[in-house]
Amino acid sequence: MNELVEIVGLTKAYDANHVAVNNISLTLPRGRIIGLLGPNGSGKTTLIKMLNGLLTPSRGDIRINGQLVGPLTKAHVAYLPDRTYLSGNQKIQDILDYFADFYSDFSVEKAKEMLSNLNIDTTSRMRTLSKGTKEKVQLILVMSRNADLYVLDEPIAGVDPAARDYILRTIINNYNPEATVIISTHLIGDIEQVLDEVIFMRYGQLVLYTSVDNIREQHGKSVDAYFREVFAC
Amino acid sequence: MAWDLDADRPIYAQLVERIQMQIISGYYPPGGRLPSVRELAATAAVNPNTMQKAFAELEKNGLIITQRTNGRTVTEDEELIKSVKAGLAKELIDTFFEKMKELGCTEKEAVELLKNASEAG
Amino acid sequence: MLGKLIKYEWKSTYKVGLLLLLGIVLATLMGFVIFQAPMWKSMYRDSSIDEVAEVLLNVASVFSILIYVLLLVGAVYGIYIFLVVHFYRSMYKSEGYLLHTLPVTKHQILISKILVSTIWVYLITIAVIVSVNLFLLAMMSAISGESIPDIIGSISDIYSDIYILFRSLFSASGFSMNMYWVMILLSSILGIPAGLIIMFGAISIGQLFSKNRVAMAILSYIGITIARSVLSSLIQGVNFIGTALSGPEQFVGYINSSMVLSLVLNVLLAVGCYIISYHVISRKLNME
Repeated sequence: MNELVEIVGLTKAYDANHVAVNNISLTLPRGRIIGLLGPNGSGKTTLIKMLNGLLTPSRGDIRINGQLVGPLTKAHVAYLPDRTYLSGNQKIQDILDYFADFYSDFSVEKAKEMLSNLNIDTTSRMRTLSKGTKEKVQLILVMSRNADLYVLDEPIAGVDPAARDYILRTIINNYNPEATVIISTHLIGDIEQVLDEVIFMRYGQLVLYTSVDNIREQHGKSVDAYFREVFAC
Repeated sequence: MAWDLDADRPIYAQLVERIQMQIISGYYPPGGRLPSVRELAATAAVNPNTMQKAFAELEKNGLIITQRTNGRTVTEDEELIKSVKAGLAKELIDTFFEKMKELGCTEKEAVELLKNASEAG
Repeated sequence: MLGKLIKYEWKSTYKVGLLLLLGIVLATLMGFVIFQAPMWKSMYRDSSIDEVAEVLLNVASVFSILIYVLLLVGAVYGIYIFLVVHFYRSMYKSEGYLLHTLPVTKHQILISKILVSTIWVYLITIAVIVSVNLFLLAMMSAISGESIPDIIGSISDIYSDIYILFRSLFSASGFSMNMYWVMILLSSILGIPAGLIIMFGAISIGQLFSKNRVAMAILSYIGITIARSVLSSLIQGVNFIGTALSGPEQFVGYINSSMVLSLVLNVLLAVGCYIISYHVISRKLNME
């Protein structure tokens, strides 16, 4: 089984008028860093939630490593939501223990190293940290897992440029030819260099799935510029 | 820290150019070791697969050699490096003459201006 | 995995639980202190303390009993409210993003929460029962002037008289008395988790709506409670009529069967609510 993610005829309809994801079929290989791009309401977030088992499809299915999404796939998928999901009262050390307890692929050493690189004290409680620091902690938790699929939802939005560089560098350094990283973002220009391929979505449908270099070669412009062209109102 | 790359040209092509320049200029001397794909990708802030593609291209034209156990090294073939340097230099010169022609200079005028600039600077 | 979920569920609830238990302990101690007041002693003999002071002390005593009762009631309400709110927040608010992406099954999530919540309600309930018993003992001791061991002695006598009376009643009717006590115990033991599962189910029903989820949860709970009362009355009514009441023998049978029916109703409702919660978190989960 070489393909990491197989999506077939995936649809999520809340009712007749609200179809968030409309019949998407897609196969994602291993060892890639893939951008998931699209305007608001394009279905990106819905797709991400279905990859993580936070939402069930109305039709079609998603297989990761050949298995349907469920507890077994969750053990190999690392998800970074675009919000704070850790309880404020917990100390970072407690959260590390929690992750190590539930995820056999979690490396406490790696997490501690990254935290100390950023001078984050593991005895501090989440609610005492600034927003930017919270986001870094959440990213470190995800990057310390040795997962098959990483799904990062807006990892660099609302983060200062220095932190952004750190995050991109961490993603590159973490690269593993057996794993794939999906990054959903608005800030295409900032991460283009790091992407292998991009997925464009609109109105819940798949518009394009191709490599970054293809776009640049064929259209003579950056993915960012091409995206604006494609999605111009 | 990240390499400054054009947004509208394929990344791997720019990486090839960049590393080529570093080899020709001696930043990576003949026979010298190159950083790993991962390391260089992190330094450049680009995707490791893209960096891999660039390395593959450089291997194809012989500038880089992959040792089985030692990673990647620059070729020791100084003739090859010189010829690549010559090739790039020719491209620059051709471009120069093209641009000067656009300006309305003849080739002779262009060479003249060049000589003056070289003597003055 | 279930064990781990239980461990962390315990970790996130024990502080509040312990606090409430402590509150009950303190309230009980306060109760003991109350009974030093002359008011109690004066019920049996004359007091020789200054009249004004005596009145004040008596007022303070009555007031304290009120506070004692409020504290206990507060502890019971408190644990339920805390557990339900905790369920809501950990399942359906931001923390849910972590919980529902763990490599665990939905059943494991629900069971861990039901189990730990049930244990806490058991603990608080037992604490309240013990507290009230101690409180009453202290009160009777103060009133009668007898020491506590003596009181326990007299109470045992009373209880054994009641026991003998009940026994004759039961044997006349052909029903086992032990069955009766078993039923009462079972109703309490099963009734507590059943009640919790129903509350959790109401929260889950609230999640089926896109807006005002909390309000809808509360409404659902009220709805379920009303439905239960109505069904319960109907069933009891039918049971009553069916059990041609013609003497104390039949009466005991009626009590027994009505308890069984009540328990069955509760359990069925709990099963239904469990299924609802399971369905919501596995197929209808829609986190904000």
